[in-house]
Amino acid sequence: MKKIYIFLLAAVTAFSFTACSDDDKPGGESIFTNTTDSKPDNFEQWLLENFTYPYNIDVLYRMKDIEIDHKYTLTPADSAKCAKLAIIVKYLWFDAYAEVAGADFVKTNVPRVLSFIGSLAIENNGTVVMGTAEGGYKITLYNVNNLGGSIPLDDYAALNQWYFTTLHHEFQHILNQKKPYDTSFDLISEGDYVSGDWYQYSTETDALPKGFIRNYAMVEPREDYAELYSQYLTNNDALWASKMKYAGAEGQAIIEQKLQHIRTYMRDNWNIDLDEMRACVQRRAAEYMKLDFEHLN
Amino acid sequence: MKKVFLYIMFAVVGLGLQSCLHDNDEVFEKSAAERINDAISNANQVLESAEKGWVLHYFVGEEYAFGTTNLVAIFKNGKVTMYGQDEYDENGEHYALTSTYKLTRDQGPVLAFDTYNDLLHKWGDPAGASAPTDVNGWEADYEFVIMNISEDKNTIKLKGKKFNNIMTLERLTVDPSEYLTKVEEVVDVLVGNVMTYISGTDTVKAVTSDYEVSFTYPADGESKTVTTPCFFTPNGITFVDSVEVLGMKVSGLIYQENSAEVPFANDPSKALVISTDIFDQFLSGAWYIDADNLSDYAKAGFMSFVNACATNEGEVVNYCFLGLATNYAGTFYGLHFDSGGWKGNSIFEVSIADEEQNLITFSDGGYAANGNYYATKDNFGDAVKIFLSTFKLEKDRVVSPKAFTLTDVNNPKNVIKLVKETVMNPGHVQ
Repeated sequence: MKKIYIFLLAAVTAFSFTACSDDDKPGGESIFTNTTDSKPDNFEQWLLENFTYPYNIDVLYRMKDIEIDHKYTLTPADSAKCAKLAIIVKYLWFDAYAEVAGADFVKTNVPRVLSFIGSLAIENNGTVVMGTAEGGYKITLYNVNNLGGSIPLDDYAALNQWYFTTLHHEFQHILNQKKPYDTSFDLISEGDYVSGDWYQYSTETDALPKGFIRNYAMVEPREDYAELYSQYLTNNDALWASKMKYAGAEGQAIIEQKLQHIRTYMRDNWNIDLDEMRACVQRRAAEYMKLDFEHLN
Repeated sequence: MKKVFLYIMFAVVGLGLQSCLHDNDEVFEKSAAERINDAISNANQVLESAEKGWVLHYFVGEEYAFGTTNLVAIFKNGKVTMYGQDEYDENGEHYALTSTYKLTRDQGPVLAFDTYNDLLHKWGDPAGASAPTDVNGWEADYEFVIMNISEDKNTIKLKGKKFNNIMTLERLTVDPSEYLTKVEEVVDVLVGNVMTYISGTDTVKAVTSDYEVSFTYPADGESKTVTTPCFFTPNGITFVDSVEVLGMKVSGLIYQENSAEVPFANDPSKALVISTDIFDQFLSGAWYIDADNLSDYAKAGFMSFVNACATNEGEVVNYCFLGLATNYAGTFYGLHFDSGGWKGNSIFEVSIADEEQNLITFSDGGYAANGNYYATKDNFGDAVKIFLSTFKLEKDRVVSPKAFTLTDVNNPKNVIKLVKETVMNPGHVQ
């Protein structure tokens, strides 16, 4: 009798386990289908061939809700302006790194997503965000719709101000996240960082004499590091010399000390000669207006 | 022992049944993901099925605060071609701009205009021209949750994702330009008017702006005012929310061509009548200055302000108008300006000096917002001064005038022509 109960118990338990199994089998296809996405147009095909296939980068020029920062009011980018910016970014940034550090370095280290936003991103205090980087995954550039307007295509200084210093700056953050820099850098200007009040300081009269390349560099050491890197690469000799004049002997010595940190870091960790990289960026800056911005080649 | 086994068996059976309980609660035939895919697919088919496109009765400003316009959108293969109300090219034709759209799934099916189209997105630009907010532009949405598609598939209800205004897409049966031209005619005739409706001893007064209608009527021995945001169609004005006026439910007004009567949509046997009273017409509108419309005397005063803004502030005076304006400090009748994005007001006290002679007097009531700063630094007072007198009012047409000429009865050299249409850069500063 005891055995019969045990068999009964075993049978009931077995039935209980199998009762829910029917619907749990994973399907072969995703439940999400693309219902309005049409096949890639010329620009999208060009992006595939020039960014995605060679560098493994997704260029987001159509605004995607989940990819934007909702604390800002933003507008999407104009697709024609995105095409022009993509042509310049490829030449002045991606191809420059590929030339000096090799295509594999670009594929391995640059962010996977480059996002273009049409409008400015304005903070509540009135300051403007030029770009952001998120965890080594994505760089977002704002103000794309003013390219060709208040940011003329042939104005390299304006392009730098809005896009390229941002790209180099954010990329340096990504490199630092992968391989931390020597924290003794943080001690060079330890007492002079001002956190969120940076915009109340002048670059010329406050930041440079204290050894910061720009007022924004006064926020904190890691911003100082990234900003110096980006300004050094993108400023031509004349602009750099004019800044060093404002810096004076003392400020210049501090900046040079910081640059030496960055040179060592880039060489030892990434096998990149900072001055070779700068020469490459400067050469391309002198050449980029020869590019055809009207056709996607 | 036998009992112990029985208890164990009951427990096991009980647990087994519980584990399957969720399978018995299916409410829908399809999963949530399948249903949203179907909804998106259906919405796209409906959008693309309108050959002439859809008119979007578009609102900007949270709670419909900043205005309305009509946009026509034709959807095809992920591209949208738009036309806008009052948006003309140099040949006087409504121009079209094409960009992209996408139907996505986040708060249900969402219609997102995901690349820049100036006709739509200029309102959403955080640094947009003359935008009323510092960081949110005109508080304009370009992503919309699809709330409902009508059974006849001629109307789609949308909700702005960021600013939450409910808007309507309406299937067009005529060409975009034909529709927009008719709407512009309705706006031209009905906006800026005072209208009255008399019921027994009660009089209802209605005032239309380009995005709101206000009704003032007697209630419980007092004067009560209700205001509702609205949008314009070729048939008249539709209110976002119906209002109750003298016990009547009113959800819109009907436009009748060449008629001063404007019937209530809910009961067309009753109608408001557009006032032709010159003071009603003048005081209910916003009237814009253009330096080219001023006599030499008046122009000297106005340009003193414009030039000081350019010289002292490096600013262009974007517009300057006489009428009612609202800012954080209140609503004022007076002369109002925008200089380089900075807004300021002068306040006028208004009195009718002679009803038969059409004489009106403006006297100084001080400044508001940045008015005082610009009066102190940039000669705003010189522009104000030309208005501080008694004027004879003349209008260019009996119903819905487009322009008024003010002639100073104390100084005939002071003649000011003001127009209904917004004049940007009235000083014509290069």
